[in-house]
Amino acid sequence: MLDALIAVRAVHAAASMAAAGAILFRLWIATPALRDADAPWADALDRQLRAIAWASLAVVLISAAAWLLLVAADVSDRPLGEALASGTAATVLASTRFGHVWIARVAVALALGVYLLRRKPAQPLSLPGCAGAALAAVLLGALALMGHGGATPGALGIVHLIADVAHAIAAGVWVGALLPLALLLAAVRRATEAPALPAARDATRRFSNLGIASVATLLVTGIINTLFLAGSVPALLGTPYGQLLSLKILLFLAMVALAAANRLTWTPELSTGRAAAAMRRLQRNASIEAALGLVIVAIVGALGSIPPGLHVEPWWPLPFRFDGDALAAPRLRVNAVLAAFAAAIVAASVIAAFVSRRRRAAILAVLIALAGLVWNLQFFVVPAFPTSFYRSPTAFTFASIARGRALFAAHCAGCHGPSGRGNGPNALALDMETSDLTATHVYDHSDGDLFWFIGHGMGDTMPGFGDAIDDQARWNLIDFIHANADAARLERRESDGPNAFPAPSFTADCPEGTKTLDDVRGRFARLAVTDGTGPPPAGADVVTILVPLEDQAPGGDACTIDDPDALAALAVYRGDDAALAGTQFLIDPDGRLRAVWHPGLKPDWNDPAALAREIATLRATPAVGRPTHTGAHMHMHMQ
Amino acid sequence: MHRKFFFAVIALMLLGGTAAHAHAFLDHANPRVGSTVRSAPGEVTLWFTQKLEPSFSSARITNGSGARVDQGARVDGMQMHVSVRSLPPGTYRVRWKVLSVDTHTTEGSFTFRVGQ
Repeated sequence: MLDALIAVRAVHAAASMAAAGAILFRLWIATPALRDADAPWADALDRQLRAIAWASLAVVLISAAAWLLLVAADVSDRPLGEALASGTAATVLASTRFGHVWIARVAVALALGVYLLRRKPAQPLSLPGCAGAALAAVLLGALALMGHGGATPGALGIVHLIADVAHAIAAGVWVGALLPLALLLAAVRRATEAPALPAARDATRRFSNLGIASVATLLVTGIINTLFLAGSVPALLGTPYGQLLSLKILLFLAMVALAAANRLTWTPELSTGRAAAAMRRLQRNASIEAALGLVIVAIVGALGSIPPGLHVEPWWPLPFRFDGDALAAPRLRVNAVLAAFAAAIVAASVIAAFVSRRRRAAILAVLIALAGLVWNLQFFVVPAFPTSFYRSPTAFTFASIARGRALFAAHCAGCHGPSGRGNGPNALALDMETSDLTATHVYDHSDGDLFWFIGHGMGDTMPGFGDAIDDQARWNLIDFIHANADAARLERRESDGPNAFPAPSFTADCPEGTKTLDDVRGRFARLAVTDGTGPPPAGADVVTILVPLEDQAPGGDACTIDDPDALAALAVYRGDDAALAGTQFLIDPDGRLRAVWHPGLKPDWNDPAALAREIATLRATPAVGRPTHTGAHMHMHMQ
Repeated sequence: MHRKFFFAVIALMLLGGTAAHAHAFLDHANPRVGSTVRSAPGEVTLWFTQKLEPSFSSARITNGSGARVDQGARVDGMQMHVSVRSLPPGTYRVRWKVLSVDTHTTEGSFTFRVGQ
């Protein structure tokens, strides 16, 4: 499938790299290396390099024009022809960041054209030489401003941008100079005079140094960019963006392997009697590297047009995933150490396989160490499903829990029981093993795992409900299951750690405006279900929010949540619809639900002194439990 | 020999790549999406996930009968502020269309209610 924008971006990037590469190669490598070779083939090579630079600059300008028109048509929803006539292109140029960068790049390309008018090559350290190098670097670096590089906001965005610019320059210099290197080696092989060989050695050595600097820069900046745009292993393996990025990384490693072979094996042989064969190898490798570089540029063109992995739900492709908690488990410490050891041996053996002569022994070592690594890693994996890394879009609101409650009663209570304890009438009648959904084990599964189970069933006993209910309903059910499990543990006051569960997010109407759970962070908050005027005030450092029962209107200057969904959700935590009146919930400054009280329990929270003591106790007790997140809620069990 | 290689690679390049487009998603809004507010807001604010281009980003707010009730949108980095006249109780629809700085357009809409 041909997408014009991707093709144009790729061509533009490739032409920029070819132009900059030819200019920099001519300036830094060819001119110094061929300084003493006063031969016709050296002049012919110089003319070739200039021709490549000219042709590439022409392609840069043409593809830039095409890119501008395509973008103008895209943002104005008009066909291509109209984009120019209607002035959209002019608006894009004048008032968008893309447009400003475009103008700068075209100016730089034209300036490089002027630079190339000089027939005699410039010396690397002269003023024209430095100017040419700077212009070439700008031509490459500005490519970064036209992709996702400039879109990360804030101070981190500047780091991302610098990494992107350095990445573009290093890539352009390395890949762009590969074709000129191949041409130089071809010219040397065809030359008949003896001084050609030292020139080839000198050029190869200079290119090698350039290559090492580029590869190091690409590694560091590539890692930084991956963190910003993919951000996680699930995104790398489970999103189209991440998979393309992984392919790009593999191709990059292949290029580095070839470059390493050039540097470590073939370049030294230029000084021996096998120089001719070595040069042929070098030339061939350089061509292959250049081809790989072009494929990478094509991939980059595609990457720039699809959503970064960070913003896409990953479809996990493997039947297992690593469990971070397991790595810290004491009983698995031996295995963890053995796995790390085996991984180190694998890495060392792979490097040895490339650089040493004893290739077979190295490959054998890789295989044995790999087997040891896999054997030990099996203890740290848990089953995973395609949706395991999906995140809930519901933000754990009262509305979601209430809807989940209704759905649970309709679809799940038959087997799992009305309160999810695994004692539903169907289960008892059919004598089936049904999960107690209030057990601690529920917290070992991510939201995405539960999403999969509900949709596809589990084992032989639980059917899938993916056809019966939609995705949103599944997420609502998961919110209910978590609220229900949290309620059970709050009630049991489990001894495996102070209770600290994410409080549902709410929106309360206060005299000074709307307040959400995020707005009251930093203070204790008390939700009080009331059938009258509510509990006595608790002090300035506690926000009291009233949740009136049906048909009550406390009015006045209190914060209220007037919402039947809130009542339905809070009833889940109370465990009993009928006795909801007077129930109070305490939420700590981190947004975690810490305690529940209802009339009849001692001490009496309606006594401000007793409540103050309870709050002081909670303040002093460190909360260990499922972490809370603002916004989209992640229920993954983490340390 | 090398020339043929390169042309083949370039052809491959141009054939590669299907694409979806990157988006500036709506992160959240005030009034919140789908919510009911007691009193009319002075302006409606939309927060997006990427920086926007002011020249190509806009929003319009219509009331229950489709009449326009906003007085124009102003872009500030990743936020868009839409000023509105004093709104009587009712349901309002916000339609937004934005261009992110990496030249990709997105659009969407949501509703909110004023009053009981």
